[in-house]
Amino acid sequence: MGTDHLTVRRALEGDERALRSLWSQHAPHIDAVVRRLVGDDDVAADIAQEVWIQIFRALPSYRGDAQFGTWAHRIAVNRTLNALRRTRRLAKLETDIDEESASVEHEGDRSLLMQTIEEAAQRLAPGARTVFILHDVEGYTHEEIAESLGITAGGSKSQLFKARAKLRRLLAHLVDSPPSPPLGVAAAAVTAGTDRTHVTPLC
Amino acid sequence: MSHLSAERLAALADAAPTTLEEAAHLAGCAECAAEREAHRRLAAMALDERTRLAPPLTDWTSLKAALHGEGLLATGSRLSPLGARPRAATAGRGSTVQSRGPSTESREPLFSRRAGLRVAAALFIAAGGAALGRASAGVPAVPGFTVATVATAEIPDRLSDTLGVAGAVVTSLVADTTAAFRSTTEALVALARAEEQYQVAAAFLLQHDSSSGMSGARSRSSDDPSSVYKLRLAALDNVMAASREALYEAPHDPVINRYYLATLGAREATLRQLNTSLPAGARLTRY
Repeated sequence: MGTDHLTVRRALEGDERALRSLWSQHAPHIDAVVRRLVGDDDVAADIAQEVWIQIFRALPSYRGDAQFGTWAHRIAVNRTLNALRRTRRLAKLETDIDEESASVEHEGDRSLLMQTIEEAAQRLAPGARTVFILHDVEGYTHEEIAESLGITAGGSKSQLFKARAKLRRLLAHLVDSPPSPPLGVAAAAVTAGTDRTHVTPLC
Repeated sequence: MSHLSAERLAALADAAPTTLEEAAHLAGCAECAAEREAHRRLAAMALDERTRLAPPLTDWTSLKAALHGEGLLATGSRLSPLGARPRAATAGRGSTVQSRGPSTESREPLFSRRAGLRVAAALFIAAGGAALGRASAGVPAVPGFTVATVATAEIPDRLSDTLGVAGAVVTSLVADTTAAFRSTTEALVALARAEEQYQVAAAFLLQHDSSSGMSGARSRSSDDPSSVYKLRLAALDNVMAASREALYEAPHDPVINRYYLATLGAREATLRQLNTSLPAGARLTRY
């Protein structure tokens, strides 16, 4: 029996420290999922707390068929999507999906290059962002996404490809380059202006 | 055949061409092939996001309070048995469930070895940070302490003094730890508080005190204002490597995780500072 299973059993028996242990072990990942889906840290913090309450509430239903982290991850995604739906962040996806599909291209995308996927994803429409995160980051299938969001699998694919196309432009300076050197070999690389071909190691 | 559309290329990041014509085009068109590769790199970046650790959004104190409010946690640090939810439901939302039996705390040693190690690690971090802050401000870290020299040729003298003092402080504080705390909960609260203070102090130092602790390094290469940050970055890379190895040994240990995250944060802050110290027009794009 894995450590998590024993900890869950202790939590179910009334051991607060076991509960806290589950939280401290899995919060970095669970809270990160919430943060990615929500975007805004303040809102995400509130939802993350709801998520953890839901995880603990559902603990008696945990059968140990999957890793605790996987099981909790699924609850986190579902709860976060419900919370977002409440705050109407997903309303656009569910009601105006066609409009959204026509509005992914913006002038000036190339002049607003982002440093991370998380940052760039903030520039996506809420629905496209959610689909992208669920599929490409969290590993959900289009069928699972369709069921979670109340859209079709085809709609999920359409949103994903549009999201990817936009992110590819926003992160052009990263995805056009060859892979990064190993950590520590060249701790940083400097480019002059936006010239992607001129790379000078700092150390 | 004209070039494939941006969305089609995005779809082909993790799918095979569906027609012979499309496959032939991808094989013969360097531009479309490069675009497809870019999308594959984007997909790999997205996958990496899943394993990226970040500081939790929640904290146990407020979560515990919320659990009390939900009736999932009884008073007296006793969890309402989760398998007995109907009892909690009877108590109603917003109320607490009566504690049954002795408290969880009473069943365990007042100060377990594991908790002791956590506190010791936190104290080391906190004392080291505090001592570094005092030393960088030109104030003796702890008056009256004898400095144990741990410097090597690579560590500037002043910094090595600071580390020595921090070590002495830790020895002294850990010796007193058992007397200072009456329960593991109390120690953990102190640990959380010390960590917060450490983070704030470290952030302050990074913001305001980039060179005082490494004046030797600066003087060795005064022509390059970014040398201090480069040296710090290299040192932090070593710490990162060590703490990453420690994570393999103890992947779920919260102290090691926090230490790793703190180092990661310091490294990112240093990179930002390095970026600002670079000549106009030059910027960091990757590390």
